[in-house]
Amino acid sequence: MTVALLFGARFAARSTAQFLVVDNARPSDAVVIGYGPNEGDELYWEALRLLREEKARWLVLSVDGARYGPGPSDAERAVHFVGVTANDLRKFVRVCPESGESEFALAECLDELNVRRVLLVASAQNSRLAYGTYTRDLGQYSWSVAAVPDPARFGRDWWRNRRWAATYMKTWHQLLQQVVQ
Amino acid sequence: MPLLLGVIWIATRSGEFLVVDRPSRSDVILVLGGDRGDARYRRALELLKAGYGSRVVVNRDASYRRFGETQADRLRRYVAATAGNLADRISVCGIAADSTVTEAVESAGCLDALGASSALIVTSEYHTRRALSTFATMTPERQWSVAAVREPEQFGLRWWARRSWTLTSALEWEKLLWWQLERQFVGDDGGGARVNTGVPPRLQGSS
Repeated sequence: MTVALLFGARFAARSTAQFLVVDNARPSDAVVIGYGPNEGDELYWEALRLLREEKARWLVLSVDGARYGPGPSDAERAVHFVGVTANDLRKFVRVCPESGESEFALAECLDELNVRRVLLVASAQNSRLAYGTYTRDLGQYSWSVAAVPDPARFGRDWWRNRRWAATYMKTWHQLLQQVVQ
Repeated sequence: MPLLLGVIWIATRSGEFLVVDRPSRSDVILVLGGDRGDARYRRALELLKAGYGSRVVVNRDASYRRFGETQADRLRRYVAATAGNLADRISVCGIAADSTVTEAVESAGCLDALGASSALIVTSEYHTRRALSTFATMTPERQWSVAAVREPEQFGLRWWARRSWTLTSALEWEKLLWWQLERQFVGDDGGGARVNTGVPPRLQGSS
């Protein structure tokens, strides 16, 4: 009985972690990156890979257009970074500078490219949250998600690792906040 | 009935309990990471000008790059552009922490490099009690105090007045209770050594 309960609890705990992950990538018109907290270029590399594999025609990078100090803005740095890291694909990459309401800037960029279907690249732990946000705010497009594993921060057996547990708790909180809002 | 009134009274004061705002003069002013804008950094500059410390250390994530640049790199540019003649007294501590516990461990290296025996923490007001408790537990050899930064978008003492305040209070209370539980396992020997984040912190000037 106890063993059955333990297995049941383990299954339930794993299922709640698995629920956070959406991975239903479909060929699309454009790839968009949905960054979570403390997530960086690993999502960009995955988005580039999908572009190279022709899973989409465009990569649209939604980036802060504001300028902090005398150096380049994030949008300017992104343009430079794309030139350095993917010069051969540069004409298929659009940098979309955000200002305030980022969803509207992104929508303008997507509309300019006649995009209807969007493939969202997000970390596994952030995939459902990002999917929920984008489908809510930009419901006029058809969204799918490519979830990128992030074993340093998140795993299904989240109770085995302090960092995984913290990510699990934070993400569930954000998901509940999304539902409440 | 008195019990109910008591519960209501405690609930209405629960926001205040999260906040500690007792800055003391220290060797270093330590700005915790997680600043959504630059409110913590601005408060630290005010405290520096008021003589609460001779140097400021700002913790910022250096564990990931976005378009080739870390948050710490970006902050260094920002400090150089905004701090004026105070810039040479401000350092950025590149960390990889995603919790207050690991931040306490990682920033210890940066404070040690400056020979700081006392530090004034600057963080969001709802985070002050937990931050002070965490840093004092993880590195008890240093004297700690804390200054609260008001961020009305996120938190207010009347937590029931806005939805964002309610969510922040609920989340912070949960974290505080977890920390109180976890603290029992850290022990009195500065258990920070047991938390290995794998990334050594780096202290660099802003310019």
